Amino acid sequence: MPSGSNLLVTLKTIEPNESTIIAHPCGILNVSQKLVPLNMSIDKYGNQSLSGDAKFSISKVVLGSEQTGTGTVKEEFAPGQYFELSDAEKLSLRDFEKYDSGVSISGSGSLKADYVAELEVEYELKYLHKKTLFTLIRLNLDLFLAFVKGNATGKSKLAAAPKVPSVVGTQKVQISPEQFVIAGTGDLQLLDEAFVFSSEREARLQMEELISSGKILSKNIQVIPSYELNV
Amino acid sequence: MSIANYSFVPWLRRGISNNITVPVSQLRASVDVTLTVNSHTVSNSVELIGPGDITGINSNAIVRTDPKNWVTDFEPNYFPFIEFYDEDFPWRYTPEIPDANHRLRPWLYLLVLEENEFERISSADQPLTSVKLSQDTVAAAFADPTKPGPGRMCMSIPPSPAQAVHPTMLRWTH
Repeated sequence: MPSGSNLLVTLKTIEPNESTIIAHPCGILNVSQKLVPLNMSIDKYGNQSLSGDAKFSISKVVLGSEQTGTGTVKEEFAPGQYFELSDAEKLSLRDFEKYDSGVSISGSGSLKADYVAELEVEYELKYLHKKTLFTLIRLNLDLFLAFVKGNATGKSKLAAAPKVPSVVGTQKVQISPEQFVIAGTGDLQLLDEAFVFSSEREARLQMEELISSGKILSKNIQVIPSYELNV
Repeated sequence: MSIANYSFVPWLRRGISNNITVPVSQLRASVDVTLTVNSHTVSNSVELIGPGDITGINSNAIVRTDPKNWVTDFEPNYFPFIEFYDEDFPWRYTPEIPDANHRLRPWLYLLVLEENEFERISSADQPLTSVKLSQDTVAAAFADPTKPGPGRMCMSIPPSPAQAVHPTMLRWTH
C-alpha cells in the first residue's frame, strides 16, 4: 500500500498460488527479477560470454489498456557475475551491489470518475420589508473554524491521525541508501550534480565514458562514496 | 459572476482498479500488465482483491451514520445513510467497470429492514453474520426489476431469494 492510504478492511487469508497474482486495488505492484541487472551493459553472464543483447531495460509498461509511469525496484547483484573486473577491482569492489531489477507499477493516486454534473453556487436573496427582532450577524472566522472542528470528518480518528504525535515521541529518522559520485581527485568536489549514482558500478561506467570521450583526464577524476565529498 | 460550483460524480476510484478493462462481473477483477523488455513483450494478468476477500470493515472508516446506533424513533420517511472517510471506499473493491450510463455498482450495500423481515444467521464456520430474507420481504422491499420507474434506483436479487443474501449477490437496476 502506498503511504497516506488506509486499508480500512480486514481480508481473509488468501492462499498463495503460483499461477495467480493478487494485488490490492490501491496498491503498488512490483515486478522484479534477479537474473540480470537492468539499464546497464553487462560483459558476461556468470562464466559465459554473451551472444545477444548486452543491455536490458523495461521501456514500456501497459496497465490494462493505457501506458503507465513506473518507479524503480532494486535488488542485490554480484558485479563479478556480470562485469569483467581486474584483480584489483575484485578485491576492492563490494561483493554485492544494488542494481535496477524491475519496476514498481501503481495506478493513478488521484481520484477518477467518468462523469461530472455541476451546479453553480448562488446566494439566496431575501428582502427584509420591516425590522425584525433577529439581526444578521457576520460569523467570526475563528468561531467558524472552531465549529468546523466539530463536524463528523473533523472528529474522525483518521483525520486526526497525521496530527497526533507518536506514542514514542521521537522524530522519525530517515536513512538514505549509500550513493557514489564522480569527484575531482584534487579537491574531492562533486564534478556535476548529475554524477550521483546508487551503485559504484554505474558511477564507474559513467567515469569511463567521460574519459573515453576525451572531456576529462583520468588522473583528474575518481569515484568515491558521497560521504567522502568535500562539501 | 459565478461564485463557485458544486460537482456531483456518480462514483470515484483511484489506483489500479481504474485500469480494469474486462466488463465481466466476477468475484475478482483482473488487469493485464504488459511489459516491453528490449524488443520482447511479457504479459501477465493480475487479479485485484474483491468483495469476497473482505471479512470486516474498520469502524474508523465510517465518519457518520444517520440514524446513530440505537436511535429508535428515526423518521421513516428520512433516508438512512453511512458516510465513509475515504470518498472512493464504496467502489474500491468493485470488480467491474462503469456501464454506458456512467454507473458503477458499489461493492457494499446498506440494507434497511424491520425486525420481522429477516433472520440473522451466525455460524462458527463463517467469519461474518449474514441475514436471510423471506419471500414476502423480498417481494415487498424490492421492485420488479423488469419494470423500472423513471430515475428510480432499486435492488433485485437472484432467482432464489430465500437464501442468505451476501452483498455480492445483490444486483442494482434502475
